[in-house]
Amino acid sequence: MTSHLEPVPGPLGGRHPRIDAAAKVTGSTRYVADLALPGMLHAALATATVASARVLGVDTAAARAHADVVAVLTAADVPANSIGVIFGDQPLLVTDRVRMVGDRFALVAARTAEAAWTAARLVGASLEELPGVFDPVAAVADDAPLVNGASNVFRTFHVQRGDTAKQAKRAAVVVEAEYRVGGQDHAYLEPQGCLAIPEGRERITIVASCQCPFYIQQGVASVLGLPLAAVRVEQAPTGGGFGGKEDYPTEPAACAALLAWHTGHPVRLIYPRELDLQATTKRHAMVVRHRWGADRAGRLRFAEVETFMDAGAYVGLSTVVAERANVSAIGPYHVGAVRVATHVVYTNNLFGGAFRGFGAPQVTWAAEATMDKLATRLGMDPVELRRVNVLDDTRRTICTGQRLRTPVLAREVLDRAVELAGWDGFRAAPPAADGAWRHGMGVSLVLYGCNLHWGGQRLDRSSAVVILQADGSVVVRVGLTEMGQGNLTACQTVAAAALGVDPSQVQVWQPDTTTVADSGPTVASRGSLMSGRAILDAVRRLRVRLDPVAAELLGCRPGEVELAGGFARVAGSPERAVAMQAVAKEMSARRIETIATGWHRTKARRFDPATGQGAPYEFYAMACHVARVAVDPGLGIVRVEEVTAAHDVGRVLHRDALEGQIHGGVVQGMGWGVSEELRLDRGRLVNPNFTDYVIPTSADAPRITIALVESDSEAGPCGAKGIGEPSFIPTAAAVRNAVCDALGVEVDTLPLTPPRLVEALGERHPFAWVVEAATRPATEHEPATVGPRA
Amino acid sequence: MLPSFAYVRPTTLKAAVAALAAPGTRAHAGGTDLLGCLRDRVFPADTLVSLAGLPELVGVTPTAEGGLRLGAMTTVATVAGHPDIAARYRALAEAAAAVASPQLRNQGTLGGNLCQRPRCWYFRGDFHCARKGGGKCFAVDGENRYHCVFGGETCFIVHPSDTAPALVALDALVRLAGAGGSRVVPLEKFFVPPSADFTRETVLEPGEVLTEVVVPAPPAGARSTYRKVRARGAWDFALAGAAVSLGIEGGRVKHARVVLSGAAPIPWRVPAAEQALIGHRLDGATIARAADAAVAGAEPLADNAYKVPLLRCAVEEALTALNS
Amino acid sequence: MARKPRDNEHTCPHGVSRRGFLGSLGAGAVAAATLGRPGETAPPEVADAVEPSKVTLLVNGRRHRLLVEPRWTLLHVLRERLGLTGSKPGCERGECGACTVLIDGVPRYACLTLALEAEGHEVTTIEGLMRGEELGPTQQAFAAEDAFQCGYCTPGQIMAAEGLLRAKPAPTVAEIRLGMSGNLCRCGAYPHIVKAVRRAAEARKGGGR
Repeated sequence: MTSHLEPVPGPLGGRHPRIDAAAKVTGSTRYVADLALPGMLHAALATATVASARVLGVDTAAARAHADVVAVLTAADVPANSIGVIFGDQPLLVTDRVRMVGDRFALVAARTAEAAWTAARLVGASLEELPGVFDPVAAVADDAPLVNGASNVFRTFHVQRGDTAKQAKRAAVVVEAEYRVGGQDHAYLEPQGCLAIPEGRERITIVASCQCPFYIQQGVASVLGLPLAAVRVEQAPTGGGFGGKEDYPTEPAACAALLAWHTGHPVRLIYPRELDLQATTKRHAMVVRHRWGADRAGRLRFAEVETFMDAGAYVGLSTVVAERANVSAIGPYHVGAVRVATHVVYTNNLFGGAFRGFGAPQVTWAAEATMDKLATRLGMDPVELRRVNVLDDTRRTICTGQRLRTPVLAREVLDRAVELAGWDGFRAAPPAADGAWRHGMGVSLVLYGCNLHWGGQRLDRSSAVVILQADGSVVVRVGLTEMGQGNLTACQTVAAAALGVDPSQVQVWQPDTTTVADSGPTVASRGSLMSGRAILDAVRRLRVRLDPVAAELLGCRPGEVELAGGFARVAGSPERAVAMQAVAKEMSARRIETIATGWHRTKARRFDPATGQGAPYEFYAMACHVARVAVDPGLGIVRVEEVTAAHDVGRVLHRDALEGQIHGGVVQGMGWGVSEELRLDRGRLVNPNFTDYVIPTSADAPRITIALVESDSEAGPCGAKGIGEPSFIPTAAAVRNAVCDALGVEVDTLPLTPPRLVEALGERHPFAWVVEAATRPATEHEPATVGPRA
Repeated sequence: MLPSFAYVRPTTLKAAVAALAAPGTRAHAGGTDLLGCLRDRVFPADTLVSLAGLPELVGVTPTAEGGLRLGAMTTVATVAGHPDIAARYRALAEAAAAVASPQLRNQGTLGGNLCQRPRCWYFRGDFHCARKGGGKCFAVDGENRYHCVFGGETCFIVHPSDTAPALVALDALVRLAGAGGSRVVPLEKFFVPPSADFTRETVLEPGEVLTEVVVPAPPAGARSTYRKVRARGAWDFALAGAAVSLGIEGGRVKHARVVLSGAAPIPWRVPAAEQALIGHRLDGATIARAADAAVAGAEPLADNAYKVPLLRCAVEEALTALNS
Repeated sequence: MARKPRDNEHTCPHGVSRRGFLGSLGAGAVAAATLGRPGETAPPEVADAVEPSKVTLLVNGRRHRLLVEPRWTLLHVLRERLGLTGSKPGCERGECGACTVLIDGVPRYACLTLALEAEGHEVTTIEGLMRGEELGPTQQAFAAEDAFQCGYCTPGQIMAAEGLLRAKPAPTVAEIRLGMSGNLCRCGAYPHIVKAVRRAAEARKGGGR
């Protein structure tokens, strides 16, 4: 990893061990499945295996009669039977209609998990199957079966800037394409799970594997008809999220809460893996249509994008995902005129939800494919075409009309990645084929809007609590969660830096809705930024009381106190110092308040959803990935050999965690790009397991080279920008472009599995002719000579 | 949680065979396939008969005829790492090394690898398909990306084993012990195509157990290899593959076995490809003719025609590797 | 080498020493055989019913006598009966690796191993890698190289690494990548995991066990 700025002294940008390292390497971290209480019951769900049907009746008698079953609940038992995170289009338990596989008929609580799931299978649903629709383009046809409401097009978002018809006249080349970009499962290693603990009929605690305890709090309060204050949600250590534990965990939490409420017992619900894959939200599949044109010099003149987003049977967060997809559709390029339309379309497929990148990866994949097609038509190097169009300090207005803050580092990340990857050398002298393997290199850029879109800015705030203990150690609570990305460690680092103490002195605890105010969701790469800024605010407020005490001990004015190296000391005279422990002890002795709250909210912005013009995001991060691949054209196998990732990160908070985020984004992005495929048969996932849904192993991970382009900005705490999503978004696109470079054909469907590549090669497959030759009518082949039993 | 079953741990083969004769009984070797099937309710079992108490089923020993005897309970890892197998039966060593993951190779047995149930997602999933006694094969008009292009009839599974095609190519025999003694069957005849019976994959009768695999002495000038095509760099079933065993004397192919994996409901031996090799020098033209012949007569479903060129390519790569 | 059972426990429960057994059959063969216990006659042809039966499991050097149903997996018994929750359920069908434990020093999936099968063998879990209060060398290496993120797959990764290094003390990077391929990490921490395994190999060479 390289960086052109000197590291800052202190813990910032360092590599101290993560706060949870010892627990995680000893297996002592307690995930939900590791928690149990006396009298605890186990929950199970009875779910639909068909995607579209009328419900004629639900028979729970057999389930109720099963030994060890304590309760079986149906829709009639739910006080407020609606669970949609934004819109009221989804019931917690279905009443009259099944709209997707995984829809719930009934909830079961039993004394063992086995009894619960066995009984759930005994729930009988009497169904009349109805026609369904399983493709977002087919779903917009006039005669398509209606999925949920009066139209299958739930909403359309737009970006309109300039006159594309006029600009099209200046275009020397025009690329038209239709991309079919597949979905993805989060495949976090820890399945969905939660534990609901009722206290009489007054209040309830939920301990959940989740990214957004406040979403669960709202969902459970709404379903049970309780005030928010009566629902306490504690985030359990969470075994991976990637967006899959943003919106979805509210559903299992509401199920467990209902059963706990009815039975008066603690209830734990852990999804079996196959249900987790079958029933939970997915990355949205999208069909993206492009018409882009450039002039002879390669300048992008216009870009038209129409996207059909497969929302599945319920909207969930799809509108929010569509907002990000909508404004990400063009990438970090300056374009004369832009027309984007993004349709959120109902189908009877599994519903889409939050997933790392949130709509941006799909449209980025399409945009970067089109950029390469334009380069080919123009006879330009793909990097050169991007250099001609990329935003920078002199040209920094994005397609929404927003002028970016400087420095705009898109050109820098492009140049750094290209240089480190050896792009020019590779293009000048491509490596010779190595046996069957052919080599290719591809590039992709991303313009990433940090934090939440304008449409969600009411949620874009964050709370923190800092408590200085009497012994000088520090407790920090924040509202944003740790799910492996390192938020606890980032918060620890920021707090330690602000208080001038060693990180080991700071303990950051998992969020709990009763200790901090609603901080919104831990999504959109905002965890460290928003928590960090709130911590800085809390420390500032703490110092209003701390500095005078320290000043008295030091014999200086409060304004002269600085905190560093574990000491309060006099600015400019570091030898005049008193240990933080002494300051803490003194504050405690004097009964001075040692707890402080902090708060941060993003700046209010203006945006016009009708035209997509304005400031959708507060600030942006740029990234560029270059992928080098080897492809066996005969077998259609892709080996991603190296990904060079250059990121505009602002300032580094914790170097290991940052690297880890980039590694993870690249590996997961590669998986999405080349191997992960949701195979749906009439809305039902036929591969709900890790044998048939293929995610990368250690043997697949490419070599990853990282370049950090640091800058001082007013972005997050200490100048940090988000990294979780920008690390994912460009990878699949860069891999796609590299594969196409190696093969000399266009592949416009993701993922690039061996079957897909063989099909894309078509007549250019080395043995294309064998399909026809081999499958000629059998008489010509004397089948008696073929086969094992000749 | 697995469904309930009784567990029997016989210490003699005779007792094991007797126990296996009871209806609803399954043999438990490594368990890597069996327990998953039971958990997913692919089929039921009242009683599992453990083969772990039969040490005579473990190990690799030379036969008097110059071949090797591999006990059915020998782990896949042992087969993959055995120096004699690597030296003389390379296709088998390569196939065993390509099976699943390190942990599964440590646990799974050779016998289990040959007897594993199909990996069709309809068969494994909650679908009452033909092979499970239902009325239809869901793959025919469903998701048939990874189904067979040869030998499909009523049921369109592919045989999931890597060691099976390698062992068929090596002319292996299997010994099946039953109440009335044991019988020896060429491995090729051990597997049952759907055209004969689409509800079973092997000729094992109730009360029979596969006890050993015998690979005969390799032919003169023997060389063999297994080429597995998989999407993931490790831990993945074959999309397509080819096991090839040749005997080359005086520069000409005298003996040839070409067996496809990922292609058919059974390891799919292609005599036409073998005929294209025998009597010829193993040069580019011969290899191309054999590879063409290997895929002749393929009958792809709607979504798996890609397998035909893939298989052709696998055969060509395997033969080319043997040529160097 | 694996730790000796605690002093107050019986010694090796096998009829032969582990070393001799491995030497004769190869490391991979251990899964298949059950050997008689000392002081007892070889087990008769036990026809265990569906009902629980008494077994003795040797886990992390400690002997546990307990009642086990035939259908209980080793993972179930470790977590629900012995309270050893470090081994994680991720798929319960041998597809993720989070439940990896060592059986006679060899990595296996506890979710696909019946508890009954483990009788007579030495089971080591993540909890058994501690050296008293200190992390074992493989654990230390994972912490030092930041070779985890969410941590859910981590105990399984560490056990797989431990097993790999016991069989192959100085693996190449290619051997590590393949040797660790039976453990999925969805956070994609693989680059740091590979570094950690290399570091652990070095540490073990320099006096670690």
